[in-house]
Amino acid sequence: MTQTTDSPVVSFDKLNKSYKDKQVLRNLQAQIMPGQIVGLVGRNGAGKTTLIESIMGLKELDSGSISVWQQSLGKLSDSQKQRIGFVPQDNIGFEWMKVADYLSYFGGFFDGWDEQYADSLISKWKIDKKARIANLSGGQQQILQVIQAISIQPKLLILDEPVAHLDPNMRRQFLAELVELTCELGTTILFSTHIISDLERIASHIALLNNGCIEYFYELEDIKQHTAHLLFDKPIENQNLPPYLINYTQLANGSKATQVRPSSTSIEELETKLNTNITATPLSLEDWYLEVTNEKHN
Amino acid sequence: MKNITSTLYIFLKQEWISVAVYFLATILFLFIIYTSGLGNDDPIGHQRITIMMISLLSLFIGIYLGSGFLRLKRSHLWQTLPHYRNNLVISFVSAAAIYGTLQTTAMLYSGWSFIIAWLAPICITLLAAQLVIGNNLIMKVILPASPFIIFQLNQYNVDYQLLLVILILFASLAVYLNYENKTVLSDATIGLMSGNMMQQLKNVRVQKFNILIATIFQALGVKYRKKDLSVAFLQPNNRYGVSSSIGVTFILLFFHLINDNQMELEGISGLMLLSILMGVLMELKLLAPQSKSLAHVYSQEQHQDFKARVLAMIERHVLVQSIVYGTLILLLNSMIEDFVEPLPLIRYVATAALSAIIFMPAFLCLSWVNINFKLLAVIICYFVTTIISFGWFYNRDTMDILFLQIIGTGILLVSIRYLSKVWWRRFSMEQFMRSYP
Amino acid sequence: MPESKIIDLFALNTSSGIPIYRQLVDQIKQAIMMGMLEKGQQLPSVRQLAKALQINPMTISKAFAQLELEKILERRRGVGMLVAQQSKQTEVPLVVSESMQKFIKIAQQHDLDNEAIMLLIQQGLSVKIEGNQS
Repeated sequence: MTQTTDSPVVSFDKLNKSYKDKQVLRNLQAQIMPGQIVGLVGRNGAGKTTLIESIMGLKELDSGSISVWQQSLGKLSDSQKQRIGFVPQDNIGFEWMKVADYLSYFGGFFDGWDEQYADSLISKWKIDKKARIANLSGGQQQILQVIQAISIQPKLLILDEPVAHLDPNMRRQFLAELVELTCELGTTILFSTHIISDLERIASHIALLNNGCIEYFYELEDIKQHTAHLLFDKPIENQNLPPYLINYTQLANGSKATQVRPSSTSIEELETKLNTNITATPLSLEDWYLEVTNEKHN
Repeated sequence: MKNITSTLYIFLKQEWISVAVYFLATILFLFIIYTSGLGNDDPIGHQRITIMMISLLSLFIGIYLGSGFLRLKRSHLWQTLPHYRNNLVISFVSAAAIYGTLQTTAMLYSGWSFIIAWLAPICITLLAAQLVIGNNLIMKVILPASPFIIFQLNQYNVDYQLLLVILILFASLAVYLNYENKTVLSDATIGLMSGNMMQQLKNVRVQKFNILIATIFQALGVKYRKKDLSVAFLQPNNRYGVSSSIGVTFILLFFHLINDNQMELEGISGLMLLSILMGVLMELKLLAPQSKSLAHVYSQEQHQDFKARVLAMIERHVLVQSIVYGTLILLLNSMIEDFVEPLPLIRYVATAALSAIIFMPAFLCLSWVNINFKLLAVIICYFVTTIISFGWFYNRDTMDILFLQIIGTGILLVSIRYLSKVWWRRFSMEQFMRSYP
Repeated sequence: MPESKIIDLFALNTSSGIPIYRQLVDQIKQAIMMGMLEKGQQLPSVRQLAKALQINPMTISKAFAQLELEKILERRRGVGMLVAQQSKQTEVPLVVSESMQKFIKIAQQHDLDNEAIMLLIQQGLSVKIEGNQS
């Protein structure tokens, strides 16, 4: 089952990275603990891919360090590296190979390669083993990469928008496989996506990348429990607003704001503090994401 | 070990047919060498011709292996799993060794010592592959040309054993640099064969260069629209072509300075030209399947037509480009030669243009969809032409007949090329894409 | 009830604002209250549930922990989670108490006094009873 040992699987320490004059990662700091399924979200160009590629050592950082299993990337042994499954965002790139050849060839480089499991996934997803990769659909090519990455019995799985081209059925199956992995192997998973509803099901944590750093990193259930649209029956003075309330808007008779972070102050306590009546409507994860990424700076 | 054999299998399987062609060509070479009487009364000259022939073959195979290597190198495992990197490099060297060893007999037969006969082709193959996989343009130009330069040093009575040592050093350096080059994804846009069309199109430098090239072509009176997609796809070739032209000019100049025997110059410039075209076609081969997705993006309904158009444009581009660059290289060569020993310039212009036209269709034929007898015939024709070109400078008395022969071969190749085009156009584009590469 | 059937008891709505573990807690409580889960009955393991419902196992552990704390479930070594013997649905489920509070708040916002609210509730109850009888 999920390990509960307390040393982080991946930790980011003050990462900085810029392309020309655009800073993509800004003093980014975070830790991913064993068994977590972290959903990495953020707008396009927020730096999700840069972050993911730097974990894999595909991108050089300007400063800062990343450690995996408490060792710097360069010091990981080959057998440790073989326990990291990775699906990049790019095209699969081996269009000239046949599906079966692709899997057995690349699988051969991993000690944990589970041919039977890969075969069962291939038939589950209805991919023709003898087909050339060039002839698969975009979604099938993507899932083939996923199959390759999860059939190596990974301890850490890193996926960069793995579901962008999948239909809902394939996506649901994909999520089921991820759950299977965490259950059976205690795999720690980090994946970036734009499909927030997928995360609501399987993520344990949500990391939101904004302005080059992880602005929000919470347990999914905490976000769902504590975030809400708040409707006040009168205007509130700006300096009285606690920082976890954003997007404050004055209404005809009253005002509204959104609570985007968990807080120890309950709604009742807030009511007395602000001396107002509050009506709270819980936010779905997608609403929360939209509120946070469209934050007006008041 | 298991992985090495499977990588090796991919290397060899991918171009298995080239082994057959390779054997045929070797036999043909030997046959021609011993029947044409080339250098019969001159054993040294004989040896030198053999090494030239072998180099030509090794170049051919090296480029094939290089493209295979590059295809496998595209995996992120190249960067993330040292095990994969070691495996690929070892397999690559082993494949070169296998091909190189196949040539040993031919070399031994013309009187080379065993160690040279065995190792030289391997090294030349490894160096030739750099044309495709070299880390940067300098490596792509200098390293494949280095064997020719090294063997020229024999003019100064440098021992062949010593030359072999230098050759081995160069080859080891090349392989080491390949191994050390870990960045393949991020720097994909810089190389000759980036393998990702979309990435190329996005690159700002690519776009700038593209517009520059299109403007030049327009100025030359060639109808190139600035937004011509084919120009965009082949941008790295354009850059590559220009840079290597400059590189080749320098190498030729160097030759002229150290070489008293002008016999081989046309042969060498032919090889250079050959390598450029080979690179262009290899890239075309790699990029063509991607026009499928591109066609889907840019045209919903008529993507079949669109793909056909893109491919046709790419071909036209290759034709124009190879003629321009080929002529340019040979012309420069002729002018240098003319400077050393004044001769009618017009003859060189004619030679240059002709050679370019001869080489060009031969290589377009190599990009054929399926390997078939027509292609084999063309390749054999091509090799014969090369041999005759070499022979031309030996027997100047029979020059007129040879001149006619060359024109004939050129016409033959162009017409075969045309027929093949008509032939495969009959297939649906989808089918064509499926069998490509 | 066999374990496979127990899984069918759950109807999760992942896109609502209510945390999934709370939905699980409420639905298990409801199942016990309605007699669909008997005392001493064994629940499927965290893994089985996670795989069947396709949700994160941590969420299920969290729900189980909550129910264990409320003494509705009990953990038995080597067996797993069982419905507690003395489990009595004494306390009001969280959803009910929360919606009650919400209801009262809205009523108060519309200037209803306590008597009017009580009346409303009584009316509501009688309507429901009549509805059930007819």
